[in-house]
Amino acid sequence: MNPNSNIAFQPLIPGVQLKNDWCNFPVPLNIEVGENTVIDSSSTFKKFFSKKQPGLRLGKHITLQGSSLATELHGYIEIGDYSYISGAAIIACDKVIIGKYVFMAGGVTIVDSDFHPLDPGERLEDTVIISTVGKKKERPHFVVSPVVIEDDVWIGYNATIMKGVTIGQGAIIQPGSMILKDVPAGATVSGNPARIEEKEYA
Amino acid sequence: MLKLAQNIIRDPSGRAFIEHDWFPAALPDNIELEEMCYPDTAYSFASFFSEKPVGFRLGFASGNYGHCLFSAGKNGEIRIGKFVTLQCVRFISNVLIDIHDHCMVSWGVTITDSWITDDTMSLELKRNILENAAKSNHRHLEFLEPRKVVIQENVWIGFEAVILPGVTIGRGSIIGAKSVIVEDIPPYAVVAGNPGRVVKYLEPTDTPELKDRILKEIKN
Repeated sequence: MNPNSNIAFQPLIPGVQLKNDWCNFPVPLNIEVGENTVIDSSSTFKKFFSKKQPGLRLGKHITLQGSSLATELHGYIEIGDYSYISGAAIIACDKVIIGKYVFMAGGVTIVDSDFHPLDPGERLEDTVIISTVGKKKERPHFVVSPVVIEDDVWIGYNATIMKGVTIGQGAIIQPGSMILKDVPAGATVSGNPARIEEKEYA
Repeated sequence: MLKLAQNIIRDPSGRAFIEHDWFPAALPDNIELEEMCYPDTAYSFASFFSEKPVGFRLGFASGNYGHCLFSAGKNGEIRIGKFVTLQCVRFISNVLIDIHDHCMVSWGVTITDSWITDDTMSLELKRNILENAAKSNHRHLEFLEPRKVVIQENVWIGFEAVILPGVTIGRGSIIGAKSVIVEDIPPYAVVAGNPGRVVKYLEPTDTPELKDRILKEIKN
């Protein structure tokens, strides 16, 4: 096996160009990082447009692998100690707060907004503003509502967590779940839309 | 000369390339790009084998962002209207996928006019599809009974939704993230789930007067 093909985790340091990274731009400056937090590529920040100070706050001992941390201009993401984010996409217009000891599997998506208005008239206007000929005027209002994931939550493959949701401590989100409303602490949920799984007793 | 959001350059034999494209291939000859559109990369056409006179069209000010894939068989055709935003969408066409003006299609969406139907369910016919693909150089699956997909004006399709063959989505509708759409959707519906169900209807506020006003602002 070629050792060069293995994932090379490196300490995440604000403003640094990672070594041997296929992605040729540096890590953003407006982030705060605790000790022993590592990343595999700065491609994680390809859509990190936050101008906040900081726009991202990471605790200690976090592993970020093949993930995307995307923010709009005023977006903010916070991730707690020992959390392990692998192949997930977190997209924040406003705020996504993730606790300690949270695990996210591949294909997980977390969004804190719809990104476009629901109303057909406003939506038609938005399609023109975001087109190649759009004037850079203010876009129509759309719903933004922060997401909170409390400590010790485990989230399975391809699960999706939508705007405004709080997931209580220790909850388990089964693979493929579509989470549209709050999940109580300790619950196990699955399905689209997700429902609480009833515990089976022998 | 046609003005796009990207520059098109031509080699001595007249083949068209997108300037600064990371994928070193020419664009297919049988595609139409309207003014101010953003075709992004020739990689989007890596599995485009349409033999129609115009197998693909990208309308005025529309964009292909995050390299969509436009897979098409010899009879496939993909039409994208004006002011359409496509973000990493996969199209699989063996007859016609028609996206009208002002649509937004989010990341990870698959829109296909081709899948096995009751008529192709027999083992023999399904094996034929795979055997025929194995005989061709480009290995495209030519489905037997593709059914066209029409997405009417001002439809918004959420991320990772799947639109299956034969479906027409009515004007102004919203398809929720991760929905799977197997049948026609009426206009101004909000749809979610697998299979997609209508959860509510919207007011048809996108009047022709509003559209005229918005388009006039762009011209000024």
